[in-house]
Amino acid sequence: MANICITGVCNRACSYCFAGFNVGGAAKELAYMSWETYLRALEYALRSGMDHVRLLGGEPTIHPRFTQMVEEALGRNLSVRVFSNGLMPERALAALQDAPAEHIIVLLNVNLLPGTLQPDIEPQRRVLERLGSRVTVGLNISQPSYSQPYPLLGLIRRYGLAPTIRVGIAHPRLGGTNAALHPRYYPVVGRNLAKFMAAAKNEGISVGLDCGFVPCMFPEDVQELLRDQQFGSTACHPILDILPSGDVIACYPLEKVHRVPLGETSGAQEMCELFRRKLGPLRTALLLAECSGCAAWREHACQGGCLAASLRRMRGNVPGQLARVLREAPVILRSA
Amino acid sequence: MNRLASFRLAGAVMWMVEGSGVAVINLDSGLAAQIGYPQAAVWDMFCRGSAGLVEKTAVVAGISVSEAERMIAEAAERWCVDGLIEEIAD
Amino acid sequence: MSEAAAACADGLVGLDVLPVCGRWLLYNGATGAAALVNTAAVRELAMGAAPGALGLAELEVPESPGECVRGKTYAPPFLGLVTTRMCNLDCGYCGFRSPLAAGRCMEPRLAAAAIDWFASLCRDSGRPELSVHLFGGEPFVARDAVDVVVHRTRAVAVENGLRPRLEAATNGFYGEALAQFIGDYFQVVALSLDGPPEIHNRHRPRPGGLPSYDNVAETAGILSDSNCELILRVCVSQLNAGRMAETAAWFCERFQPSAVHFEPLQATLDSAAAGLQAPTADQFAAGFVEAMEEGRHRGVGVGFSGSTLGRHGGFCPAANDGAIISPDGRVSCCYLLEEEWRAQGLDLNVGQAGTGGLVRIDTRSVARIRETARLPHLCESCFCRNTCAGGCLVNHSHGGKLKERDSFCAATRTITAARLLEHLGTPEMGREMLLDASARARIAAQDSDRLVDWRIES
Repeated sequence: MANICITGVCNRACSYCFAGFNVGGAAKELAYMSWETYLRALEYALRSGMDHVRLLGGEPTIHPRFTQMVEEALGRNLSVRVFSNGLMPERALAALQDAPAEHIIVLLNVNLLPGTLQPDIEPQRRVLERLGSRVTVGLNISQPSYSQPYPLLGLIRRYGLAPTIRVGIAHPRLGGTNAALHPRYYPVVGRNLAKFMAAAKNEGISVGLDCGFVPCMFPEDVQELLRDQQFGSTACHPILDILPSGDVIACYPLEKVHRVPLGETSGAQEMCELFRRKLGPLRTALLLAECSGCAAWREHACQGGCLAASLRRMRGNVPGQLARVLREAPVILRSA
Repeated sequence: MNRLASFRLAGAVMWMVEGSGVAVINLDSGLAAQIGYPQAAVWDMFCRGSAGLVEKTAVVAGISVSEAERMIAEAAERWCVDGLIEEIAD
Repeated sequence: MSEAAAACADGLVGLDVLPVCGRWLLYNGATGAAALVNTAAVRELAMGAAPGALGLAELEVPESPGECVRGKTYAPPFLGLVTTRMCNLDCGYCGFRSPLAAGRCMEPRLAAAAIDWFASLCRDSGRPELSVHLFGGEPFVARDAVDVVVHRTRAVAVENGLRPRLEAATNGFYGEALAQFIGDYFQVVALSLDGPPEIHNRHRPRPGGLPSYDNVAETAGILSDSNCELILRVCVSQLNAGRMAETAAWFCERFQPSAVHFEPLQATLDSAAAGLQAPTADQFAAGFVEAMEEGRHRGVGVGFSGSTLGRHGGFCPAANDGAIISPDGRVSCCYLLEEEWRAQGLDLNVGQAGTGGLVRIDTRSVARIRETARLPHLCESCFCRNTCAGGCLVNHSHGGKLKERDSFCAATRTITAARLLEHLGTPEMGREMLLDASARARIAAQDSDRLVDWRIES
């Protein structure tokens, strides 16, 4: 799949935002992706054999050519998934409402109000009412109390939304200061989510886990539930984000580590391999000191957690080095 | 004598504490190494500039001070070859 | 006497019942199960009905009384190392230290010998973990000993197939480099931070009355970023008793700790001289319950030593085969200064460690201390007998001779009841209980909490 970040501009300021656009991230260099760059991104998706593209931001629906971008993708037989905060202009909402339902999914990021944990949906209400089953709610957990989002089940019922919830961990942006979930809270989050996932399943709602979840944060008896998850994978592996400038990064939290221009001929497999090679040595960094002795890590059942979160444990000559381009050299792993 | 006193961490090297030692990465060469005990203690105390490296290494490793000096010298040589540390210019 | 009978005589097993806002809180301290019931249910149980017959199977009293250390070999749950009694702060209420001008640091070889001894003990008893806890004074003042403790523990753990676990209680007054080192290697750090600057600096100044807050807060930030479990420990006096909830909320937002622990100030000559007064039981309990609510909203635990649900045998190491090694190599089961035990007529030494690798434990001393640390008679009828178990042997039960319930008892009982109510999903009843003076008085006045002693007029 291809994440196309079509704008760095956002009309919210979520504390956990790891895109960093409102706090001086790379996309500040260019507010809106040009039409030419967008077409190159679509061509990359097509030659990579993808059947859908994901439009991200900032808030993608406020791109001046958003509706045309959606039309262009649909015209090339690419389904469109829009990652939105729901504060979208009327023209964008109308375009999504008019588009064929089977080719549009809006992943709506919902924030929970502190204290009550009720979803803060007032600004998003019209999107929920008009898009209904095209909307999948998403939640980023930046603190442990957000791992019991039971009000979302009622939200799905009330507005007839897609019976799926996408849950992500708010990861730290390397070099940034966004509100992130500290790994010390992973076990309590895992326990809470396990109960929540069971409750959701009883109501016919599946819960998909985004990247960076680790098996050890969950109780033993929920492994089957974990296998039911629909979204992405809990592994940390590059899906690759195409920035408004046309540069490609592994993900927002690792934006500072490595970026390359989107080529004219390379496909997703080649790009992913390039990033795997570049980031490979860094994957020595694991989330916790205990991870290297863990059977799940040794047997590749766990990829070691979010790399950005893991790199925070690094000592030595860290600042300056993460941006260095690695020479083409094999990775040697041995004991000394 | 502390052989490591005339070395410093090489410019492209990062490291972190692991369950049974430390993990070291040389970003220039792509080398990723695991250092177990007792050498991991030497690495840590060297990188953090801890005083009394030789004496403390002897206690950690359960060896004599002269054996600790030899162990540190051997480690210094190996880490230098691997590009993990570099000699401090006079 | 059989072990089961001995345990019953100790009061370790049996159901307890406590009046709470017009209903009754049933509690099985041995298993941790609890229930909220009406008078009719209590009457049935008091007349001999089995809990299972009333749909309360989880309250069944187990036939086996659980762990009993009597008759078993000396089994310290962790190795305590007092690396030094020296301290770089001058806290108004401290009973653990001597100033930097005096005192000594533990010899690194002594620390290594102690770790080797304990590792053998752990390996031979089949434990998975090698748990070493550092105390002081300020333990990190003894940097040489600390370096050796950290690396020797990890090296020996690997050799013996054990998982190393390093914990420390610290004042946090040091530089960034040391804070990072601690965050890298320690699994649990209990950092003393008494609240916002005006409270913390009043409670915990540097020598000469200089402030310490800025440095300690920076350390808290570094430890917060690390992967260690960060417990922020707050000493509560009259100054901050009314700000416990605010402190908990602020700590959660600012430092993302694993837990916030509150402890009431223990009045001493030092604290009196510093003008610091202990909070009343009501003040502490009310503040604690409000802080607990703040923590619950944020997913962060709030703790108090006298009331840790699920624990057996209390928190006092003397009652739990403690092995605390002082800088001079004495092995005792208490972290307090020896003169404090002696003042209570207690001898809590159990042996001696030497740099040559030998750690000698006197089994007669162990047996003697186990007898001394038995549950005080007064506590046998208290529903907190498992979790509190009489509290500190030196400063609270005075060698097991607790004669009457004091403010610590009152606070412990109230808080434990509130925690049980929270555990049952009715935290609002805990608040109601705290706001109702007659409800608190009923709990305080109940001589025996044991179901066997329950009468309708209770």
